[in-house]
Amino acid sequence: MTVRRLLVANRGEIARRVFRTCRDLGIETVAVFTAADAAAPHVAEADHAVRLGDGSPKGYLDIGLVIEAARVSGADAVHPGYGFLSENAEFATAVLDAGLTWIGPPPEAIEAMGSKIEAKALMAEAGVPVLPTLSEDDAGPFLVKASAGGGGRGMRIVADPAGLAEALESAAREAEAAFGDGSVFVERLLPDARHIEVQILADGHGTVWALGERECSIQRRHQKVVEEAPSPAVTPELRRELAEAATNAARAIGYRGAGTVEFLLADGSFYFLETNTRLQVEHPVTESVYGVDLVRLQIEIAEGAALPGLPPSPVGHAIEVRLYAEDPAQDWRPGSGPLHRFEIPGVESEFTVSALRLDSGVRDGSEIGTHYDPMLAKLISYAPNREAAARRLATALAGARIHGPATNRDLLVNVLRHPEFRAGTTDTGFLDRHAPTEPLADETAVRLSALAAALARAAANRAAAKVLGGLPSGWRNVPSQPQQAAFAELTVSYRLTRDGLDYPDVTLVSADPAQVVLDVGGVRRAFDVADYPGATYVDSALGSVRLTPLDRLPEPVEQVAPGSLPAPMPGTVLRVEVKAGDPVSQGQPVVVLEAMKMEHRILAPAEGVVAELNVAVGDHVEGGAVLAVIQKGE
Amino acid sequence: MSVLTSRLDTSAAEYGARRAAMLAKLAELTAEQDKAVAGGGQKYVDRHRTRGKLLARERIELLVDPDSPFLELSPLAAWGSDFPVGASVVTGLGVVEGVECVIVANDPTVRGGASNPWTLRKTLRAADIALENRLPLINLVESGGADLPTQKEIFIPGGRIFRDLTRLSAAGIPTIALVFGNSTAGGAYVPGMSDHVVMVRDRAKVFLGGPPLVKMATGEDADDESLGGAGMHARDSGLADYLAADEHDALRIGRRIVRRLNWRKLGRVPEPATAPRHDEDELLGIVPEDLRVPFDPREVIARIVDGSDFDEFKPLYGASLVTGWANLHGYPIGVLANAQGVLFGAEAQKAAQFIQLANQSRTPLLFLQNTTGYMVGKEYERSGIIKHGSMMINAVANSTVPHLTVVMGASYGAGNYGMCGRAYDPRFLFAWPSAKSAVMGPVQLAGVLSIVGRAAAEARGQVYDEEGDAAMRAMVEAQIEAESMPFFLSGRLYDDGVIDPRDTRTVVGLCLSAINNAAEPAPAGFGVFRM
Repeated sequence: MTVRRLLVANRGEIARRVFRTCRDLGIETVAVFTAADAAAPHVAEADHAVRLGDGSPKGYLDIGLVIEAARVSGADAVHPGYGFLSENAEFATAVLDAGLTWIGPPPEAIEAMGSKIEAKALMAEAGVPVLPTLSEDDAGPFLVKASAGGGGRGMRIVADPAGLAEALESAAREAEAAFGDGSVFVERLLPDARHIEVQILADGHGTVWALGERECSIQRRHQKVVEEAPSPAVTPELRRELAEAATNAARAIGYRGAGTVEFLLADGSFYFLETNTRLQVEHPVTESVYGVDLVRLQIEIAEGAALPGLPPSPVGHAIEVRLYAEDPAQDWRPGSGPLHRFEIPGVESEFTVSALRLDSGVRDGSEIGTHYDPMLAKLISYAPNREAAARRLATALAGARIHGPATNRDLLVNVLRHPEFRAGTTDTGFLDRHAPTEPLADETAVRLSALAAALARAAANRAAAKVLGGLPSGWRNVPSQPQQAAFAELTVSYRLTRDGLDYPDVTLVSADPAQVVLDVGGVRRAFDVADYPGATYVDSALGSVRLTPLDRLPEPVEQVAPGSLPAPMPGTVLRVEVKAGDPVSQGQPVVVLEAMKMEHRILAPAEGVVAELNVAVGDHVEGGAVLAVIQKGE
Repeated sequence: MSVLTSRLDTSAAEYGARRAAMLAKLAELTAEQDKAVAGGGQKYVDRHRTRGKLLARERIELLVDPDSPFLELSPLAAWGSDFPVGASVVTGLGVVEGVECVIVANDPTVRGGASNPWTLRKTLRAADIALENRLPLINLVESGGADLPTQKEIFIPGGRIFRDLTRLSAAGIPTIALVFGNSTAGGAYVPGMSDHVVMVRDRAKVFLGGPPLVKMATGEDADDESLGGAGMHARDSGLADYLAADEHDALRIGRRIVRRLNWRKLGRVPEPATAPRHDEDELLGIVPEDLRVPFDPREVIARIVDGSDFDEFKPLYGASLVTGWANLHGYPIGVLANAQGVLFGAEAQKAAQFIQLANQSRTPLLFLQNTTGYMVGKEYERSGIIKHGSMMINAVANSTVPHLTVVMGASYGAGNYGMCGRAYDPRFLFAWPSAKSAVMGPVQLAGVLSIVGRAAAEARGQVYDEEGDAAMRAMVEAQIEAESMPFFLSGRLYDDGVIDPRDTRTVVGLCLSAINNAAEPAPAGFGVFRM
């Protein structure tokens, strides 16, 4: 049952992660993709790539299309990655039924853990600690969860019993929409709990490893953001107990392959949360500390190999951060658009254990879409101790060149440098309490970065000048005002004179279109400037700043209310087909204008209501005059 | 490579003193230019701004390419007259969408931007520059018309403004008018005669006769907007090609128009340039305060030409005039520079030959003036100084290559002519603050008057009034001194501006580039006469 050609039913960094191990093992790789991912790195680097059906964005969730892709590509094994179909027992069954090797646990185990309600009952039976059942007089707070849930969807926090009914209903609706299963259940919320999980690895020969714990307490809306191994909160005693509970859990469901048993740790006690029957996003921290390749072990187990009797011993400390194209300052709004540049200094390896590991699904020029999870990459540091790992990771992140949509980078750096994190005392409420969204670049850094951007642009303007490019920048024999560069964030005024830069407390050392060196109060600082259409990025040791350059002479925008219907030319109103307040459908005639012996029908641009009607039959109107305003229907 | 070495001792007290004197003059220059920049003063500037309008120089800054150089011309126009310094108009050479243009912007904060006689001369000079050098002309119009009390100086010669516009157009040189405000009566012909016209909505006002005049003439009641509003001209009269939403939009449209001129320069393409090997800053310490003390112009050349690389022509002959070849900002030039002030017969002949050689190779000439004129005296008259001087003046006058002149120091007598003074139509002429120009030095002039007066008195048998003579000499000296000064001469448009010596390379380079918008002129008819 040796795997020769493996299809990864996934995208982005996890597809690339699995491919990397395949290359190590000499296994050919098959990528699947949707139209939105046609140019994605995971497609480019696979040996074979198959578009899923018509390329619809939901292709990764279509069992039939993935099985068909395996068939046409001649794959003999399927790895599901995480997310999408990774915990779908039906998919696992379909893979096996197609005669392919399934890199994952038996469908029955997936089934057993798929319902959180049943999983909890099963674990309680196997002697794994679970949260006690609610009683009538529990006062809250509560946590409503979707039985089939994951990623925080279908989840609600409820402060007291009064809000429970409504939360249950809305969570059920969301769960139904997201997972096709509206079952929800309620647990007591442990506000100060820590999220601890144990990596399980079971072969088909009765050996079950517990590869220590990972702590994933830094979460935003139940989405993990920072993960580490080992947990600073877990004592050797507790570690043994956790390992035993996780091993029991795995055995109870006849588990095989890699999996994770998640617990909540509160006041020294831990409670079963759920089991994830797949590779976790945060698996690299375990790989670092235990020196293993979990994907390789997954494949080998699926091929029928036996694990050695004892797992390796942990060494050192690893921390992972998830870099998301989300703006924490804008309520975590996901960003989209081109990622012009993605570069993290000091990365020692990609997808393999090292002091600084990058697992990335993007590269320079990637387009960040809105169809999928906005995670760009994971960055993992590994060092002899926690302090060193946190420092390395924070510094690498702070120095990263990320030229594209807003990310949570600064937040991650703030977390890694936060006293509470450094003390190892964080719990799952950390981001709710602190939300350290302040940018790394303070006001001074933004001001200097904008100045650098202005000077770099001036240098670029001089270099690109068709005439007089050799003359001094902005030279004037009669200076009357400063040179200016306007950004949406601020306007920079400066003047380059024969004596250098005329700007308070700053000396210009050098300026070219890509880099400006300024001497600020006796300290030289280099600012790297990158210009793209509509955005300028300035990276320096003071932090990264994104600026939006403003057009000096913008084209005027017509100041008309949305939905206004202007007269296309001067003319006379021949007919008015509606009354104010009338509902109209898209394309319905509103006014008929006669001009130059021609009848021009003015149509409703969208469904809505006639909010304003400014003309009557016989009126003469100027070109551009607003005839009516259609308010769009909600 | 014939790299000039410098003998300038920058640690000498003399250098320090010259530098200090030059800096003091530059401070005065800045003070005078600031008057022009201040326009009509804070009150009128504020009033203009509260109307949501941009100042003339703000309009120019937005019109030209970001970070490009801009050479303002005649900034001291009207200096020493009854009118404010700057003459209520800003003119200059700027780069718009990569095209070198002449820009003329009325300053409406100065008496409504009304034209006075100096405004007229400054504007006409700008149009000449556009025509000679084939530079598109952009008018930023907002002017209340002619200054009526001085209309006699304006009305008749002022017709040239409109003639120049259409002659430019006829010569294939585009003319663009961006109308920001009033442009009435005669002013209406500025957009009228321009190739491309943009008017700012609700601001531009272009009519021959305003409401009161129309009422008087025909009895018709009319308002500004219906007589000459931008909307009316864009929709009805067709005088406006583009209706701009606001001032910024007008400037944006103006830039788009220039972009679509598909402009090509017809002249020489510059070669790669290197900076001079010697520090431009040291140009401050070269010219002596006392212009009777000569200085070596090679110290100047070494600080303005590419790589300080200068091939001197006839270095051993007529040594009081330095001639030679160099590049400046990549453009080849021939340089004529006075060394000892006086021009003798040999210098004049050398100059005549050199100018012919430059014409032969189609090389523009740069005149660096520091001359007290042609030598006088029996010996020189007998050896034909007039003949030789005439030869040089003839060569300068009929040379067809572009000339550029910088007055560094003295410019006296016919030396001013031979070294391509204003009357000899150099394409551009600039003065350093150390310059002085007159028919002769103030002391000499007063002395001549004194000798003539004394001779007349003696002829009449009268006793010459020695006391009166001393007072007369002092008065004449003071008057001539004042009238020889660069601000005064610049005020009368006898140059295109007083410049900081350190800017010489930049200014000349900018002018050489501008000149090359036009094709190289055709050579004159004779072979080179060996002198």
